[in-house]
Amino acid sequence: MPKLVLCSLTTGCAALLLGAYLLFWWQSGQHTADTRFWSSQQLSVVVGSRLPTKDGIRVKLDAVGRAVLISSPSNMVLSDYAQIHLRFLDDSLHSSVALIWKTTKGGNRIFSLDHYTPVQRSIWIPTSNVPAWKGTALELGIVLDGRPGDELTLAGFSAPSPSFSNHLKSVYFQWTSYSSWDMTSSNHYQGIAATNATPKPVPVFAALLALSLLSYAGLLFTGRAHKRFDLRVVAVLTVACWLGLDALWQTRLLHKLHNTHASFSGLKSTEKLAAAAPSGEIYSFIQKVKHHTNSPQYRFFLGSRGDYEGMRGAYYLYPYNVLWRRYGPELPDKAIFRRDDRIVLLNPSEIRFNKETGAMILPNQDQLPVEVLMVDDIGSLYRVL
Amino acid sequence: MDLLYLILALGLPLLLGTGWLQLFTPNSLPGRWPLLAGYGALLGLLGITVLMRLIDACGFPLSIAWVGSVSGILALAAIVTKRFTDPVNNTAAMPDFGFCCMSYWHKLLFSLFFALISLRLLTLGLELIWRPLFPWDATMHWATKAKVWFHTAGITPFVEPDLWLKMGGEGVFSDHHPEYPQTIPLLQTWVNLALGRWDESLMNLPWLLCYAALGCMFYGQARVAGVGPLTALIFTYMLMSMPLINVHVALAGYADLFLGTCYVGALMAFHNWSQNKERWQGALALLLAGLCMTIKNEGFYWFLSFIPALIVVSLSLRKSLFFLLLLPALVVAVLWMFPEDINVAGHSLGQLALSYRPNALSPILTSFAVFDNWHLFTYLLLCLVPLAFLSNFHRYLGIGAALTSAVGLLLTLFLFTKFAYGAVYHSSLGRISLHLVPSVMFLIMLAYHEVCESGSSPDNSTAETENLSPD
Repeated sequence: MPKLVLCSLTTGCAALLLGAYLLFWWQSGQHTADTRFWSSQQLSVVVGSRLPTKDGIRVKLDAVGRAVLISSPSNMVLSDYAQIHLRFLDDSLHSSVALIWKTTKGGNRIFSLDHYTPVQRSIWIPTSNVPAWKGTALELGIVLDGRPGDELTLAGFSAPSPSFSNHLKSVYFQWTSYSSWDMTSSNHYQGIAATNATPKPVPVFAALLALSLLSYAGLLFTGRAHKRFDLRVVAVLTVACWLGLDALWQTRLLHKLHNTHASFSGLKSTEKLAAAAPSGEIYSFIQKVKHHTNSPQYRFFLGSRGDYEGMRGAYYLYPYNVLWRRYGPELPDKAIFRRDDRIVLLNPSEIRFNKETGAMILPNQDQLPVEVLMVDDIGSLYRVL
Repeated sequence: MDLLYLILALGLPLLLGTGWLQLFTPNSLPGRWPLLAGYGALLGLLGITVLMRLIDACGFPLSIAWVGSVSGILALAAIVTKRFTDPVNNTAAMPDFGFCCMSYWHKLLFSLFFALISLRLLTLGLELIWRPLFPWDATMHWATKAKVWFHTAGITPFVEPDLWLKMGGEGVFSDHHPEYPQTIPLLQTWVNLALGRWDESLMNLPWLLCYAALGCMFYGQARVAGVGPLTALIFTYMLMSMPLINVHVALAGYADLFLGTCYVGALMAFHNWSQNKERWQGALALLLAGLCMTIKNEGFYWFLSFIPALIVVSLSLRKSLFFLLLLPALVVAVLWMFPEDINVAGHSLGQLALSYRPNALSPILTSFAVFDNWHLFTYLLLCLVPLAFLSNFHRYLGIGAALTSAVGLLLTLFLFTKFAYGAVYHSSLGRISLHLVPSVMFLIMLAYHEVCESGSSPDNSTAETENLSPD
């Protein structure tokens, strides 16, 4: 039985690779563009600052944690390139990268694609099925986001030639790369790093299983199997494909665990909340609000146009008695409010405070007399008069 | 000291559930120990939340002293009862998982898959322990209640924002879904009570226990159903390795894992009851099916899926067919006459906006066949289940009827109501599917076992398939 399994699986793998190559050849057509590299001299740092370095280009993120690098490729037909490849000298858990470009026909419009979090030593960005990836490139660059003052070294920026081997490298990256947890993680898992990447692993492993089973059927039909049909061969092939898929997932879990360990291990519960990104700033602000208020007897009204900010702010305010409405106006009508009620506004908010009149302008344009207790980059706290 | 409190927080429910369950389960049951551990943990966790509700209803504060004492006394009562009613079999034999009858290679494979499950449990456990509360809904309307109840030491009512405003916020709180069941927040409250402080990470340990319970229950019931130990463990591994199930442990705080575990627990017990007519399995099925409704609103609809299952199991084929054909007509008639504004399990007909949404079909297929939510689950389902039904239709009528109804309800939700957006944007389809996937996986395993049994010959039979020795 082991020989049958190995033979079927090997034949299945070979058939899959052959099929993948034929499909790639059919889809990529006559695209034969050469690889394009951009050296450090060809890249301009338009946001952030450039630091001296021997290898590649070293950038320091600005005060808001951003750096933008731009190149001006000549005669680059975007659709000729199915991937962009970035190489960094180090991984950076707290940074993300996005691809941006302008086209000759797009005017001043800047197109952008996916943030990869975190920044890793090698990043393959698939572009082939992006609707806006067409025309001739006017500018091509990357946006780096992270902590203010962080430094990153870009060692390579290239548009690889559309070869099968580069395609396989890209697929390998999509299936195995480091990716952080995000708010959609509890809803679905696609098995790839970028949502526009193809192929996804499940159909590929299903195809591998089908081809392996066909190969086993072929061995039986040609009499090479020497025995009757053995269900155990089918079972082992199925479990082997399942294990292959699961190995990719287990690898991803270990990456995420490494990230979590680096961010939170050894911290107390309250320290974790302050360290968590991006909610840490909201938590710290709310702690200041609680410290300022120092009494659970007040009613709290939380206003924000940001879904995430409002949700997190309200959560951190409990067990104080807080009202936050996800839909509808940020704050209720003036008649609802009582003296000493507290209003917390978290940015982004459309509620304005008129310094001259000392009144808050509610969504229905009523003016509510308030006292400003605290103002921060994250938000503000008021007491109703 | 935290470790001791955590052992108390997780050990007490385990002791409570297992203690009472062992009174009713036969001693010579294959898979007994995993079954007891799994069902015991789940029933104990859910039972603790019931006790907390009772304690609060009687006017006592929610505290480790009160909840711990009551549950401790109940657990002790179970142990003492067992000692006095069954002294001969009082000292339980060490579980051997059917090792004694396995070949060397089977033992090796068994150890390998056990190690893989253990690695997964460890990975997810560390993720859960280190990371503070993270997911969206958990911070919007589950843990919000836990936070208030922990600090007020009581189940303070949550109301809709309009009512909160009307009442001036006096004695009531509000969040985005005040009407959601209390079980999940009470679980988090319980752990925080045991710790004596609010801890964003450790309060989610019941999710890890629930995940372990899922595996134990699945293995145990597989053994009761006649599946050999190695096959049972491999399918348990396949279930426990599904990414979306893992995510709901790592990013704990949602109710879906508990509801999925509760439903599969009920369904497995129901199936084995329908085969062996053992009363304890029937009682377990009934209890867990009912408890589904205390976890999430969808639990009511999964509870209803047992009605057609009971019909086909209890009546002859002809009568069953008659009732099953009558049932859809009855449902349509009820929907036609039912007032649009009356709320059932969190929804009214008017809110559902019933009409066909064809744009949701492709995302549903994508979610199961292309995304890696469930690995190769969909392909196994398509191949194995029809084969099993073809070879032994009658055996799987009950479980088939339950799952067909449940899946039918799920498809109705995402194809015919306003919640189709949950499929189109993949924002809730995966989570609701999690309620049913473990149960379908149980059916897939039974289907594989059926195919093995019907295809087995003297050449192919192995000791593993015939091994029904107690674990």
